[in-house]
Amino acid sequence: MTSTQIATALPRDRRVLGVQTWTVAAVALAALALAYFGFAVTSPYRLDIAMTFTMYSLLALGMYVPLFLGGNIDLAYNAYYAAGAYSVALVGARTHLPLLVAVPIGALIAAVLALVVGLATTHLSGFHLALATMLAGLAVYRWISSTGAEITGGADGIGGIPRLEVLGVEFDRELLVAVGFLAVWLVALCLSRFRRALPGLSVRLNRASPAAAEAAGVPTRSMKLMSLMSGAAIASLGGTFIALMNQFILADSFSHDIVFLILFLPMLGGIASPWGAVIGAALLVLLNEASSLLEGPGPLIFGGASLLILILLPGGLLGIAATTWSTWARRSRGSFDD
Amino acid sequence: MTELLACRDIGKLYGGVVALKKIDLAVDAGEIVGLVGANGAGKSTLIDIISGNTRQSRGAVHLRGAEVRGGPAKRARAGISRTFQLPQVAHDLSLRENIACGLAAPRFRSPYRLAAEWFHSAVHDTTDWGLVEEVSRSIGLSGLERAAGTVSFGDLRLTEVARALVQQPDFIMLDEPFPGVDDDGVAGVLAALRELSAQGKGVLLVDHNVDIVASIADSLVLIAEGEVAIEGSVEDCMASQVFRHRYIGVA
Repeated sequence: MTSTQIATALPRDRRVLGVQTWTVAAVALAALALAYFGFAVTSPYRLDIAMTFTMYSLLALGMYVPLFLGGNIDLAYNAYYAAGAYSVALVGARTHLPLLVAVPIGALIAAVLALVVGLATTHLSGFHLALATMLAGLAVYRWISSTGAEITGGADGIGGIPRLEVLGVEFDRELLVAVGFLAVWLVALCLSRFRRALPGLSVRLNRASPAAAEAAGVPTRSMKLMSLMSGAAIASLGGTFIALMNQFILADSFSHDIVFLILFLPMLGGIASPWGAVIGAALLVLLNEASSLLEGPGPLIFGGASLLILILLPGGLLGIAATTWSTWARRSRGSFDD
Repeated sequence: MTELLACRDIGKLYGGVVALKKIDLAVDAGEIVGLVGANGAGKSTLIDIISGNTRQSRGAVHLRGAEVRGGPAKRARAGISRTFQLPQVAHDLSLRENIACGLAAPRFRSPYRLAAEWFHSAVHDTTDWGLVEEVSRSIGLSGLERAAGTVSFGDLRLTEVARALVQQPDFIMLDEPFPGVDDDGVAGVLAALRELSAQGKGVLLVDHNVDIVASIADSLVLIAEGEVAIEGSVEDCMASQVFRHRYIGVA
């Protein structure tokens, strides 16, 4: 996917669905609360689905700024995901430190990894950047699963991670999912504010015209590093969350499959807004659930459905909602009045 | 008047092709210099060299007496702003958002400031939208909520001029800002340039419309075949046979 394709898929309006950020955020919070109380807590199995949704959301939100605002295809997201998860696992199972410190440690390690990847690929863009970052991700996976086995436990992973406890409150799975949902909401809200303020606008101008961004005084190189690092830190939260939830991790979860899966989520939901990544994640777990009921052709049906959305709705689900909304708004107001 | 910007002995080769032979040019504080010349004379190359988009083969650019080095972003933060002959904007951003990007020059002074603004902006929007609005109004550009991909070429030019103005530059270069811009827009840009000049800023104006340039410039520089052919006050240049012949094309 080239940056021009990303650019043309964006809507013309500054606002999401033609409504203000806070309205969108309130609706999203209500939807998440409904999903939590009406779905997630009703059975342990559904709690697992909610867990997967939260993890996908955080990974996809991590990709949002560097890739969908900045046009930098960083495919090392499995490494950032692993940084969060292994921080929790190692701090929890091998040290006596409070488990909560694993959250900033994981984010920091992910950001440093992204900084190294970013510095090593300073002069690369497009296909070459994608290839180099993919190799970095593969190298990290290989280290986790075999060469670094003494630290990472190899393919067997690490088990026996204690429950998270903060100020005497034990975070069971229900409570963790609630915190996870809140984290998703908060990150999406922050990103939707970010994309419309000066730093976010600079990232977007740089994608359209690096010459213009430079001429406007944007330090484009530092900015690319900042977007890679903050995206990696957000993605690490997905790993932190999964490790806290499951209390064990397996190396196989951190292979490249996850990168290609989450790469499509913002496009399914609509890349015009970070909320699109969350909608994409919800869609993925629901489609996955629906298709797994059909034994055999399930994955094929899931793949086909995703492909159909990508082809028919280049703006994603949010895009079609925005079009419908603005058409409806214009009709109800009477057309040609502006 | 004090010298603000100076190009000394600038030469530029593209491969074996000589784009600029030897250019010496100075703009004083508060001065508006009109840069004219035929297509291919090297006007845009000179602007690219001053802004840091192209590196000169020879010579140096000085701002306030000190040699200017580094890439375009660094020079923008040092106070040099410019527009492009072919407007460079993000089509999916609104005009307002495109113009606001010019605030990067005064705001992102260091990587630390960038990092601080980066995280702050996720919580609180500190973008100076008031300045964006004010600058746009001053050059007669309205309808700022329109997406840049949907507006006329003239409005794109004005958007770029506004972006260059919100950079709050000490020295501004406009590369053919007027084609496609309506009379109100032209008058607005000229008024903004006079205002900058009154504040002691320097202006380098390139345009093919010699009447507009002559109406506002304090002096003119005509470049031909990569050299300064004629320079001087507007009156002297317009009276010069050679100038009229070389540029306007009348004997």
